[in-house]
Amino acid sequence: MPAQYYPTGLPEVAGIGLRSQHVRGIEERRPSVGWLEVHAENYMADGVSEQALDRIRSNYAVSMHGVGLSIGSAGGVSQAHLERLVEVCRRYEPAMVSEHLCWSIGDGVYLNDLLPVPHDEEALAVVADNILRVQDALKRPILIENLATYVGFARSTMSEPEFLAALVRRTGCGLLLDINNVFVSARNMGFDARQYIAKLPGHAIGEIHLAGHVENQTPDGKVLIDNHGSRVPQSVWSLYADTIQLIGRRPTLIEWDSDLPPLDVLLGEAMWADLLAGAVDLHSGSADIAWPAERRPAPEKKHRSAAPYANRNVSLILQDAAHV
Amino acid sequence: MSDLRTLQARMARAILNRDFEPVAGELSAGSASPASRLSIYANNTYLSLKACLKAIFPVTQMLADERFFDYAADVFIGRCPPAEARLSRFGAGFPRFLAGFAPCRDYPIIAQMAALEWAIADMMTAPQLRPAPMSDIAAIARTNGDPGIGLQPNLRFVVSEWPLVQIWGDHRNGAQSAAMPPHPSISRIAISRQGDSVQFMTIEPARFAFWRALARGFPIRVAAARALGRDRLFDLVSEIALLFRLDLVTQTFATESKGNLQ
Repeated sequence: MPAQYYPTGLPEVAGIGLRSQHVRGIEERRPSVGWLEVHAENYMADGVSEQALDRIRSNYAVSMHGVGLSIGSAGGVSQAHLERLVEVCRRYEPAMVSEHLCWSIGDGVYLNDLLPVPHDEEALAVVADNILRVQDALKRPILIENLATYVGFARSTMSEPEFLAALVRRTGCGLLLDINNVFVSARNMGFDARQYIAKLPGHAIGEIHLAGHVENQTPDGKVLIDNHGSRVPQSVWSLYADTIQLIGRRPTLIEWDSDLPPLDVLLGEAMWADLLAGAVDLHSGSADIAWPAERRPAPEKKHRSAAPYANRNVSLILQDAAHV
Repeated sequence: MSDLRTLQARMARAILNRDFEPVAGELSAGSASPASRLSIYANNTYLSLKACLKAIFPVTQMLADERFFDYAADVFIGRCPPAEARLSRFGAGFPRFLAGFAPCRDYPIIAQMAALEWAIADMMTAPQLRPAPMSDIAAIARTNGDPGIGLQPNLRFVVSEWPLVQIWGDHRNGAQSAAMPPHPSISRIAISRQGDSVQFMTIEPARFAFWRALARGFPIRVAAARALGRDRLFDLVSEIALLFRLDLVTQTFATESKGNLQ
């Protein structure tokens, strides 16, 4: 286990994603959680969300996670979007900045999904150039996250761990290891998840993501979908424990984006991640982790759809200005 | 084999058009069909963008019926997909799309409610500046040039034939369905925010013309002329004082003449 790894500035404990539905709860309760991750694209204006994060970040370390840079685009990274990211990082001074090994803009269209890149020399050069440009603009290194994938490319000449390792060498970036994504991709594309992680440059991994997924039955058979809409399944916890054994503890995020549960459920998952990582450390390499026989879900209350004003302190003031 | 830029353009088109065969030969998916797997990305794209529209336009969805809204959103995404990753900007063209969408043509309230809901969403991402003190009103008289008034950048305007604010408010207060009002009547609505609170103001034509002209950057002279065109008794001084009292003024300034009375 390396004594030092990629420095992120984040505490080596579990954090949760900050979602608008939980902003009020976070502000009012100020729960004990290691750090918060926010999606950069949600803070690129100067409205209600931005002002809330101005307040919240005084109490929590923040990790800035991009979902829209399209760092794998052969057409390059949008200068306008990059400038907005620079401004967001200037305003919120995040402990770490991360993005995905993906593209989402092609032919002038933003697809709002994370699409994979081929693992060949042409794509490696494109992605490396884009990462260097982003790092130059931000004046700091970033972490690159592996995707959950459903297709590969006939043209690929290297494995994804080899591709990521080459990016680390060429650009000095670090890696954000999404263990749920490894699990999902391994099942969908037919590779061994543990071997995948073992081939990564462990010292470059600065952060870990954990999330849930669903299994869909298709005419082609079963396919796992990375939906970030449920608890971390035991299979992913197990892979997480193995990873901690291999590379040591890392700042770890509980990701939950759809069908969002109450804040306490997220906090419980984060607590479990800390307990598990601590147990792995305690056993110093032993796989003897005491899994609970059954982890009962906390009572979940469905939230309403996430309108921009949903769950905010919106009071309607219906008035006729003539009577003011 | 196409270069990476061409491959990505072809994949983007395949996903948007949901026609996967043209690019399937470049992909691999083990024992599964690459086209079938590519359809997952198309589903993700359409479902997530529809979810975005549903979140911005909840009452529009209620008025239009959920299934019809889903259909209209699907067509809109195919015709007008986002070009950038800031989804807070996606939806700006949806009200105009609905206004011209043939199946909606007999139900103009749907597009008008969408305009109101877009104005609300847009306002929530706009800044709220420190209001100028009432004492600044004296500076207007002292201005050498053509005086202007800067209004809160989150101020938005909507004109409708329907009492949209009432319908929207009913929904926010838990109404399970939005009742269609029996008689249309023109309403002019200004929307701003104070912190997290949405503030609706239904205002008469002259005041509406005055505020909107100022918000567009026209000098007081032009804005007042527009108001007087609708109400010859428009009281300019009182109206400027009202803007200060509502904390809608952020600055006063001298401006070059920006427009005429057209």
